[in-house]
Amino acid sequence: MTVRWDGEDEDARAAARAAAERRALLDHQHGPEIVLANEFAEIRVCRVETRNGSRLLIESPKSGQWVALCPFELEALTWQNPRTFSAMIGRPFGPLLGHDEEDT
Amino acid sequence: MTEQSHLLEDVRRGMIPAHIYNDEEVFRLERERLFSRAWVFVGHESEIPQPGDYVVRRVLEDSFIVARGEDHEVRALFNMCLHRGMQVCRAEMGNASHFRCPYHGWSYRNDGRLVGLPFHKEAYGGEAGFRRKGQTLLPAPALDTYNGLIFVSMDPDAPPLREYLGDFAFYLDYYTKQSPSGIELRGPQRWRIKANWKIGAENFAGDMYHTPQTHTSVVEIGLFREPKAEKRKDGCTYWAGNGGGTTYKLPPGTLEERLRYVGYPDVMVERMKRTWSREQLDVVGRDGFMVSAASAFPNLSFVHNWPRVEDSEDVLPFISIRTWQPVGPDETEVLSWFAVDAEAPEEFKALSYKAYLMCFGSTGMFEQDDVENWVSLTNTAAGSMARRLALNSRMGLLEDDATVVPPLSAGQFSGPGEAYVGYGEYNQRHLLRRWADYLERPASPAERIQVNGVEAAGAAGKVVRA
Repeated sequence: MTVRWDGEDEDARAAARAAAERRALLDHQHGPEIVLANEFAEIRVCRVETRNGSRLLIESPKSGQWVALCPFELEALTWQNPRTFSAMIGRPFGPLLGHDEEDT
Repeated sequence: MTEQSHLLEDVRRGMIPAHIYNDEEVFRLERERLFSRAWVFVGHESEIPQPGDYVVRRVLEDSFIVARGEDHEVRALFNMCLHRGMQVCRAEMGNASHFRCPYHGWSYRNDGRLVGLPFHKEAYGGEAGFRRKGQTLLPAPALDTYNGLIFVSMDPDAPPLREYLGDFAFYLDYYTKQSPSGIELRGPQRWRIKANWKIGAENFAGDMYHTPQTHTSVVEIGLFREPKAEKRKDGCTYWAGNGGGTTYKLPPGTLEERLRYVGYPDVMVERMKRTWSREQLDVVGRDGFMVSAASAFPNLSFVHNWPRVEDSEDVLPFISIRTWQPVGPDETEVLSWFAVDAEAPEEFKALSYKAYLMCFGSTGMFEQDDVENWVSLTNTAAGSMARRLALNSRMGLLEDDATVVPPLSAGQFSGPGEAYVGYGEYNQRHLLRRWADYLERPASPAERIQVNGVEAAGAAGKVVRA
């Protein structure tokens, strides 16, 4: 019997779902990709079209994590100060606010 | 209301008081008793395939944002800001993770949750004055889907959609599930006609009789392979559950030959054979009938036809889905979509779209023919003479209510419900009988919802604090 951690299967399923979703977005990439990097991070950005609009796909090739932001979310970034980003960077690889606080 | 009960009795006998096609009082009852309860089609899941995709659709005056949330869940959110009632989304479609009301800038996540109101602390004293937590755009009282078709009902106690559709679901599959992937939609085109909404619904449900007259010119110019529009009398009409439709009789042949005859390529035929039940395949292969127009009560219609395309002898089928959205007693907004099997070859999709545009949609030839009649009928139904006249909608019935022809036996027609060959108004009567049943039943008061309400002493009605 293979030894497994609790929740390993669920994690694998979630990763497969996210990968399928990413492929579906990339099927409708519009225009070229942009790659930006410094010594701490590398990021790939491209515009993707959904049936009814557009999003900006931001991916980290190293971790495989990605997010597809709508124009409204991107505009919200312009309202932020360094503290917001410091807080985000201060909690690497996870969301700034947990799901529990979300609905609130 | 005594006048109405008399009216409903007439309708049940197949005698239609002509004024129901243009009458403020009847329309008021339809609003209060029918559209407040029935399942109403608002869109298809393929119109909002990805998180954030949304379309804005109406049920009478109620505007809904039909959106797929970041969690992939499909929701219908009442398009009214909780603050001053402004429409939150004014574009008919888009992709957004959040919506923002243009009036005072309240913002909502695309699952409806209120995420922010400007100056919450200064204006309301924060959570102490207005609890933002748990506030959400009002969801439609009920939402359900079948083969990706999204319906809403204003009745929170509406029966499940599948139960409401009943055996009509058997026929819906011909239009919306030709392969495991189902359909994808283009459109809708949206336009208004000065005609009562019931006329289109009845026409699509069962009116094979108008084809030879109204649509003569379409046949004369050779758009169809069948030599004469009279061919329609060889088809049958069927009614099952909450819908019914018309069919064409196909020439003798096997299932495959018949599906090819209407223009389906072999790859699509193979998928239909794997997707449809034995009985669904038998309607075509054994019994020789091919579905054409249909209506699901109250105001959703379908059409499937196979005109010639591209100056060749070959025909190609198309599917259209449409709603007859009432605007008033004498006006209807038509939403007309092109639908095609998502797995169909790209070339088929392109030609099928062309076939659809030629026949239906705002510029379609059938559409032009039909609407001229319906506008004229609606106009004339407004006057005092129309109030004296009960139209005979008893085609297919003798005076003693026996049918002119017997219904098709299970050996002749393998679909559920009741089917009759030839011209008849069985389906129009079924549709209007359901209409009468709804109009007869008084509406119960809807739950009131207060946005962060405070208790009022002696307030009438059941109040739900949101």
